[in-house]
Amino acid sequence: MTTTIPIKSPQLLVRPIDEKHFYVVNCSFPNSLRILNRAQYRILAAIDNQTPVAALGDKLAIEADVLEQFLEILSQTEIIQFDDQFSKPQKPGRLQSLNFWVHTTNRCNLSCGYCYISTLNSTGGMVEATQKQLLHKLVQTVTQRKISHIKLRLAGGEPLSQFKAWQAFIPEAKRILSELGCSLEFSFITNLTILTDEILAFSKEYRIGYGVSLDGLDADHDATRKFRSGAGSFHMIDRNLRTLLQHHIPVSTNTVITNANLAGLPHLTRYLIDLDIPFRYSIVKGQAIDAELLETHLSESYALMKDAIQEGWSFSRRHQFCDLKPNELGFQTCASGFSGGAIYVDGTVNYCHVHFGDPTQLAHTIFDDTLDLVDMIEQGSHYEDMKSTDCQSCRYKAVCTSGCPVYRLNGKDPQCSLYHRFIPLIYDLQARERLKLLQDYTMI
Amino acid sequence: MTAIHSNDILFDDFSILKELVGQRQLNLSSPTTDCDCIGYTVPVSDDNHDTNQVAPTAGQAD
Ligand code: SF4
Repeated sequence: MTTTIPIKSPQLLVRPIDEKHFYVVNCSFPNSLRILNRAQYRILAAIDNQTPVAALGDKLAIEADVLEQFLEILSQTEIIQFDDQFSKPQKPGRLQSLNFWVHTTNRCNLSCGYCYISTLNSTGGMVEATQKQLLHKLVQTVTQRKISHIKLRLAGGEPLSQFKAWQAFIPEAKRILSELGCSLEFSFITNLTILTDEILAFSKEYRIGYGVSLDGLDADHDATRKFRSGAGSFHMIDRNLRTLLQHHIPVSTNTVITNANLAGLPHLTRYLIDLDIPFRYSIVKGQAIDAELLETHLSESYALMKDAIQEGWSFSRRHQFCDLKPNELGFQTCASGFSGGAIYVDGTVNYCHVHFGDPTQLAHTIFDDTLDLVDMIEQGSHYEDMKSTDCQSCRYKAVCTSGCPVYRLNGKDPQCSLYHRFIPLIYDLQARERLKLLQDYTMI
Repeated sequence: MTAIHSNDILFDDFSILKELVGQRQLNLSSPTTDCDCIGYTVPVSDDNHDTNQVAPTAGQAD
């Protein structure tokens, strides 16, 4: 060991947390963040990828076996290695899970006025014959491919306006796939303006998750999400979010930041922290956004999160920024093209739901019995590997994976430079959270 | 070299917290399993698409 040379991962991020503590993370190795004290930081700083362990020990006046043990700890998550063979997130050889967006309807009650109850089970949604065929395709794919987990995200339009149509499908599909050894999970991607006791009880029983679109707090949300009467929907969402949380139904919110709502971001952040709900901020794609204002209001929001961490709020379990994956990392941004895609209301299968109805995009249909769903993914469009050369050498490539494949510009996420500023900040906050935990247990 | 110094060097936050809170608490995954596209709606409307239409091959399914 003494003659071996410790090599630092080229994807390391090393930053101070406070005057006594630092952190290090290998941005290409899952969950590798470690808190360092000054003595440890000093050793890490002295590793120059040339000096052998013994010489390093002499230089730092540290006993060889102590130094070796510390280097062993660092090598567990590939902060350092004793050769330059660092692992990279890889596409798994065998597909075990699938993830589909299911477009249940084009109809949305937010444009249909207040009488939403009357729209339950109305026409305009996926008809029974298509649902049946969907189940048939799931069974065929699970049987042929030995898939053990499937997630269907029921979206629209407003999927809860179609609740009655899915109420029978969900238990039946879960039961049939479970007999084949496959777990089937559902979530609603919803505006959350429709939530009846029946929906609530059903969601609890079948453990259905909710992804809720939220454009901002109060007027910021109401500016864009109105009923046809002109009335805003925020008050209903606020009430329904609290109801879901009270019933322990998994729920998270998603906010697309645009020029229209970015000034309200700090207020929204405060609200979401207080609700203690998982929330995602993503940045509008295919539309200009004021970069300076965005940075200002995002920074203010992250400052609020930093304060909340000190109060015990769990940043890493509650906040997600865009498609960034700082902990589990990845080889691609989403399931599309590999383990997922989008199924339209008439059974059309596309790479992503933003391609529905676009005749220039490759499409299959679930009514084609010669192909299973995995064949359709494989023989469909493939945007996921179109990445820039900058991305190949980027420290954050496993965190960012070049962003959404459909909206890349020259093979890069349009928010690349923002990510370079905010990814370190996200790790800073994770490190603070870890340090707080250690301090709470008086371990540091 | 003092014993305290060695303890400092061998401080292992991950192992300590693994004991205290468990590995599952430390291995973090994304707080939401959706991707950014959740915020993007489908660019077709009721007006230009008949949502009740069943693919012409539907009859072959059963
Ligand atoms: S888009 Fe930018 S941040 Fe993302 S991997 Fe490419 S170079 Fe890195």
